[in-house]
Amino acid sequence: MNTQPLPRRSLSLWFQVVVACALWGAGPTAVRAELKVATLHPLMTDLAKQVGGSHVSVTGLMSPGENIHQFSPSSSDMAAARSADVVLASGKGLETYLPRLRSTLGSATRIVEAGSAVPSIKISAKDALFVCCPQHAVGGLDPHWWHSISGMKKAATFVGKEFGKADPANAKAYQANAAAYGQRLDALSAWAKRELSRVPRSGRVLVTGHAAFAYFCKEFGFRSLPVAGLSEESVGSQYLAEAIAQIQKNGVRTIFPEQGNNTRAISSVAKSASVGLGRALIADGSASEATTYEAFIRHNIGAIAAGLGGGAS
Amino acid sequence: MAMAFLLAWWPLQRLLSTDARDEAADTPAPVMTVEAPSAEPEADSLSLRIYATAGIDRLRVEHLGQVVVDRERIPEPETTAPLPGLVLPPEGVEFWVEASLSPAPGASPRAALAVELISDGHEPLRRTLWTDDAGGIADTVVFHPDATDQP
Ligand SMILES: [Zn+2]
Ligand SMILES: [Zn+2]
Repeated sequence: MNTQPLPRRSLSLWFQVVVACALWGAGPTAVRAELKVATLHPLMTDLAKQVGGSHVSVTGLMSPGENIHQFSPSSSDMAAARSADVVLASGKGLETYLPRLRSTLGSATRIVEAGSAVPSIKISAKDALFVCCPQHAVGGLDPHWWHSISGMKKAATFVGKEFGKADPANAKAYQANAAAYGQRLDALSAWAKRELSRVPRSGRVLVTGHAAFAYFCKEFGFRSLPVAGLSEESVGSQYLAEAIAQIQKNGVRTIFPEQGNNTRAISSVAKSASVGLGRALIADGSASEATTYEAFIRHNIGAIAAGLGGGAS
Repeated sequence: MAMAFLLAWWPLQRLLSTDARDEAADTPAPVMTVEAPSAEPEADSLSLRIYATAGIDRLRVEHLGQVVVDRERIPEPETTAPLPGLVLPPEGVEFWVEASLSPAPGASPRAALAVELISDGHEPLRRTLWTDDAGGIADTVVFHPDATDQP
């Protein structure tokens, strides 16, 4: 806060602005403050900042590292959502509490589901055993769309338009931010493709804990083979034998644990199948050491290329 | 898009004409990875042929992290690279392609690079990569043995 007396010139300029505002029928308080955005997923927090830039203030209701399949907003989260202009959700049914949240929000708050801009993948029957949670069963939408970099680019464009509807004065800025971010995502995608080009097409089987990588697999030509689910509950011995047979049949060298989920089960599968254990992947986009989308992608792609790639980097 | 494609496709087709091929065969290949095709290639030997609608300032192709082509300011209209020992598995084969093209000033359609996988006794499989706004290409191409060819 500048407490120094304003020079005469600035003073007269300030006076003119105030008079103009008054004549326009809007006092200085009506000049729009930042667009208040509350987000429901850590990657949406980054997306809101990338697209909103200096025109938004972002409150992440879910902290990085929280379990996205178990998160439910507290009463203070609900209050924060009510005071926001925009609630940015990941969408595709991830936030199973969204209808409840929507019913408590006033008409002034806009709910934007970023994932609605991304083509959906349905949860396939072959992943029936190891979906993330009962809410995401076979035949429903797979909510893990952010594993697709091209999907994130579509989401950024969409969110830019939605921010512009909520804050028309800065609509152009949001669109420009989204376009600039889209270019950085193109570069990230090129980096990812080059890293993964070290993995032979015949070796592109991604064995993980739960069925979270369908969008990644579609984008980069992998097959997804979830073998352990999210809980530490022991898997039936018959399925375990089948999983091991699949791993060996596909010539898989390395399987991947997930940060925060079921590491023990994956380790025992690796041991039984005599394959290596890769670096833990961030399956759900929620991790304290990767709070930006770029860090999240670099973490996963780096781990997968290191675990399955043969050649030099 | 369709119009731009047709406009760009015409010079690509011309590059494939007999004249262009003869010219390429007469040009002595620089030291790098480019070699003239041998007279009696092995039955299942694979190679790449690369050509563009514009001059190629720089071209780098990698397979599984290994360099297949790495050249600058390529004078001849097409570049070939043998792929010794490579087989085309059912899952396909992927190449990383990085290039910068220099279209003639005022050329309206976006420049494109064609990458062909040549195997004896088969139609070449072709993939087309378009440049970005800066004339650059950084992408992968994938060839499947049973896939129908791209335009
Ligand atoms: Zn779930
Ligand atoms: Zn999940």
